[in-house]
Amino acid sequence: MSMLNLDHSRRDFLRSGVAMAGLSLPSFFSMLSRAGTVAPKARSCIVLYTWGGMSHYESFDPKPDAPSDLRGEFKPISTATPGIQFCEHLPLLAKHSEKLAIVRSIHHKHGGHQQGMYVSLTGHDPAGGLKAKKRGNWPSLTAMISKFQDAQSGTPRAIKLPYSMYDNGTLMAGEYGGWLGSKYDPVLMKTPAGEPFRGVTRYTDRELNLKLNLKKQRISDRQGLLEELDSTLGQKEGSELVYDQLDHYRRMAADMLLGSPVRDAYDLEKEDPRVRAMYGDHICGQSLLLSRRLVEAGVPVVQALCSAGDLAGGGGDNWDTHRGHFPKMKDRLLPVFDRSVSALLTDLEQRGMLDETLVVFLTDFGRTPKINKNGGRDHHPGVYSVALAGGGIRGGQVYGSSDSRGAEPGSDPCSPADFHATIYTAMGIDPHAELHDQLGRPMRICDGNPLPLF
Amino acid sequence: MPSSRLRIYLWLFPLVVLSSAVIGSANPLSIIEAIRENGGNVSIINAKNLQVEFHLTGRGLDDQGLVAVGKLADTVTLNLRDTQITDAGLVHLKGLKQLRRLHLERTSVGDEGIAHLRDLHKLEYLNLYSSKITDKGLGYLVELNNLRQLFVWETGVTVSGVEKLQEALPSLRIIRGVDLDKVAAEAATPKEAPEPLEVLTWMAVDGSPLPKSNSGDFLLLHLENQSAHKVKLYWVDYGGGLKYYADIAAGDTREQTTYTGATWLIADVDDNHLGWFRTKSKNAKALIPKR
Repeated sequence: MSMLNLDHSRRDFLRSGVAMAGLSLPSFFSMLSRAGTVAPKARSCIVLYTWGGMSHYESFDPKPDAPSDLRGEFKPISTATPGIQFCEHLPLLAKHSEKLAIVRSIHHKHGGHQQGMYVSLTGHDPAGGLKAKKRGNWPSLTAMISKFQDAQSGTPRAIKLPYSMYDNGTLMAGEYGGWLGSKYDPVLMKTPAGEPFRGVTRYTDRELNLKLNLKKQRISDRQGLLEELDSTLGQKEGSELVYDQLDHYRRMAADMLLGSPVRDAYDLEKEDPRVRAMYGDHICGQSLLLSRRLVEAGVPVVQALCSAGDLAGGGGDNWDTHRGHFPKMKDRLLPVFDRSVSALLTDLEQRGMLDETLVVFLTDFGRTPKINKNGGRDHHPGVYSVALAGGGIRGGQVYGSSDSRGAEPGSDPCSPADFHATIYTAMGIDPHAELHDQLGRPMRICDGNPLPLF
Repeated sequence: MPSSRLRIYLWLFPLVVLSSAVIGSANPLSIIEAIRENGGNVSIINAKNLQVEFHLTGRGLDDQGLVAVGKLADTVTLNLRDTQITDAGLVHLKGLKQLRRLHLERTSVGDEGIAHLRDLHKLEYLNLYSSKITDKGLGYLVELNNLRQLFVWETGVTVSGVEKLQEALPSLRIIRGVDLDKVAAEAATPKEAPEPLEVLTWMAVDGSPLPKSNSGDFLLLHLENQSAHKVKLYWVDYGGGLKYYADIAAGDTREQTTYTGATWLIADVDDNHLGWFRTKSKNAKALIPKR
């Protein structure tokens, strides 16, 4: 199989999968020159998802001049970029503003978590009732990117950490492979270290968990390992989750256990303890550290959930802050997010990985301008903020704005589809490319247009 | 696998055409074959430019393996991260005048090897983090006018060495990274003592109905059994029913996750109700008194 190394080349035309044998030499060269013009900078992608709907006011779009019943309790702070302000509880991230392109004018129409999360992660409006793992669903951003990226043998194309998304026990649609097929479902891995978010429920604990047991390193034969996995899976039979393609997971798990790059990456004990300390001793920080290690090991796409996995009616540490918004943001959510994400950006930069790694900030929607009677902010898809860093994105800029109340786009309104088109472009993927679903129907991967963030 | 083999040669054919002009009489097939035998990947960026990478699949690459690498003069990106190369091997890179991006991080390369890079004037990106470079090695880079990014985190370079190079190459970004010892020291500094927890009032059972729990915000309840007897802990649910949670031994403590506005009942082992606590808006202590 070592003869096949060229098949694993990652760039441009090699990625296009065109059978070279059928091409004449002139058409080969014309293709080369076209391929050369794409020149994507990003090779890997880390998606940071703040599940529940992160308030734009208390993160990237503070409104200090709004009336007091809208602007909230927190003050803005200056960032490293003149003219850009963040919430005062993101002091570390404020130092990284030169790496960040903030989009303050994104909006959509979906006020429910499931729908908001679906449009944010797939870039397509939900049609009809959504159900997790339905093969007719649109593939998630991570699945779609992984479709265009070759991973080495034994390395998953896309991994998600450390939980799947649930709302009151219901598994959400939108973070799977959809019509690309189950082999594009990102592989769930549970981060091996760090204080968990509070409010992790029995639902997220019940999931099939590909936690790699490092103590079992002596298992070197694949058959023995598969038997081991079978007995683990057998215990999960009462689970309400249906794993339609268990074979795929079993093979992947076996390959990961036996293949050293991912296994080594997973072992956070191998990381310098000072670097681990930089990310913070929390499952969020340790998940972002693991994301970096997985990308280094050649995994093309990693998604990390910066929140408890289940919204659990607003209980626990997630961004669905309908009540007690300000203390929860200040004490629980923003400090962990600030430290972890800042550490990731610092670490990617000092290793020279930032220009090849696209970091994506996504959430369901923003929060309402008005603070409700429980001291919370409710769902608000009318306008909110997302961001990009690295991967050839020009930092230190803000695209678009919200109006003075933070209620609607003020200038340059854009959609999740436009944001996705930007991400695809950064990854060297033509956002308007067509793929075929499992019934052979042509599907245009994205209906948006790239934002000028490069 | 004959079909794979055939496919590879079909792939290689254009590379042969492409590269023979620059390589001259050397047989490009054998060069690429040699690179691939060491785990390297050769890919085409455009009609003129090649990318050669060993970092994921060719970590065993040593100085001898660099001989073949040095013959692909069209290489613009070369990734040797995490390989076994040393200073001596870098002599083979001297002819790669098209190189724009070079990864030498996490190798044992040091100043003597870096001396071989001083004529690679097209270099824009040079990654040397966690290598053995010192200020002396920085001195070999002063004429690389196209260099825009240099990574020297976790190396032997000093502030004054970096300043000197910065003066010579003002448009170069030199990334020194964080001081990990400082990071570790900060992390080791004891965190501010948390606010002392509010102590909830013990409500002795007097026969009146227990308040039902409301659904509220998440919080933690720290229970301490100060009595000389084991007790049982019940949650009073939303309908007023009792749900058993745990036993707490004499002198023992328990961290209980709960919500604001929740009622927790303490009973003895025979289920005689003793008293209850009602959570408020913050994490709190609940002290189970002596009997």
